[in-house]
Amino acid sequence: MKQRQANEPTILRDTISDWWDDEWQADEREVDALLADVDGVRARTRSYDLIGGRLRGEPLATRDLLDSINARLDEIPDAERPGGGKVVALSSARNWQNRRVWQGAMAASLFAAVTAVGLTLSTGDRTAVNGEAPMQAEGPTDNDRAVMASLNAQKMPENASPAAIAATTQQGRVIQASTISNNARKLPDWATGRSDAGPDPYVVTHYRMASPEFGTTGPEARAATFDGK
Amino acid sequence: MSAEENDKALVARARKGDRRAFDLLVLKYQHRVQRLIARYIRDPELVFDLAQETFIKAYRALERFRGDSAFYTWVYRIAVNTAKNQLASDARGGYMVSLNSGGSDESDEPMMEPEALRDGGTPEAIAATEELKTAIDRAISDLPEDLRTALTLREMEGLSYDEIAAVMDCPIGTVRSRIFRAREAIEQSIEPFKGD
Repeated sequence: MKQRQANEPTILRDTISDWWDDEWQADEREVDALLADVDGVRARTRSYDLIGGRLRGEPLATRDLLDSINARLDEIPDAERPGGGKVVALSSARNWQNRRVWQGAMAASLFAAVTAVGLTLSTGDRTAVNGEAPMQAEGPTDNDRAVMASLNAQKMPENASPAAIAATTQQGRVIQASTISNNARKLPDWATGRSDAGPDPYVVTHYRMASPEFGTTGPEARAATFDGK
Repeated sequence: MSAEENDKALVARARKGDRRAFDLLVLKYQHRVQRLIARYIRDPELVFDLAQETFIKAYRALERFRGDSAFYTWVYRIAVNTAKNQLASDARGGYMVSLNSGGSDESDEPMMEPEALRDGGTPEAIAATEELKTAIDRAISDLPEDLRTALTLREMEGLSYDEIAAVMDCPIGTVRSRIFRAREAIEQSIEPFKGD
């Protein structure tokens, strides 16, 4: 014991004395030093308690219960322990290792994201490269022209009702969204196919974003939307 | 950091799963807790058991310690309640007891002097305790006057280092050093008698 005491750094024994008297101005480093030598603290505090107890005339036959308390604490299931059974790393090397793993993962994620964006820019739609969305491509594509030809081929009589449109068109059906009489309805030219304006420009510009079926049934559906105007 | 902050820092570490931090709290308060329980309980073995139980309960309840009071106040309250529950349990079993009635845990007067821990029970333990007392008395009387005064003011009068510095008219660092050196000297003298 004396050998051990002689080997202990005096600064730590001094710290224990201050800590025992609640006169300790601790920083994290000193707390770590105390935690690293619980056995040293244990020996000191037993002596300090005996000395103080004797000076105050208190009974001295108290017992060191740390081992028995720890034995019982070991029996507590992890889930019932403070911190939910988390284990605190005993050295900072472990924290450093964890930090490096996280840094590596973050760097890999960043690299993958940059690579994906680069590949998209170099191999993607040219209109996107030019700052235009695909639906804003210059002029109609072959597919656009085929859809427009299909819609223009179905000529509607003037003042055609939705029912008439439904009967004429080959695909889709009209949604009856209003109780206004058929005669009172005035549909936009693009909806009836009466003018040379062609089909609904909304459909022409957007159908490529949806399914082909949606693109071709769009004008009929929009006829109901504009019902009464 | 103040004493309370020191304890709360250890509690915070223990909450995160650092058992060594809780070890330090046990080391600091275990003897005081035993003496407190001995004021309620006569059987020394039961005192040790209940002190142990007190710290187990404290550990399990650490997450609920809000820090409104000092850690030792909280632990003392657990200890008193544990001792009283034991007395109530004994009373229900027909063994005892004159249990103090009324008032809060904090305001209840202790039942008795902690005689359960006075001499250790067996003749051998009594003899060992007497030897230890003699060794401590001798070591204290052998101390230089300034060390003995500083230690006595601290342990018997409970003065802070600041107050001792004022009484002894010396810097607080000197007080700190004197108390530490006094303890070191006594510890070396009583080492063979400490037991445990």
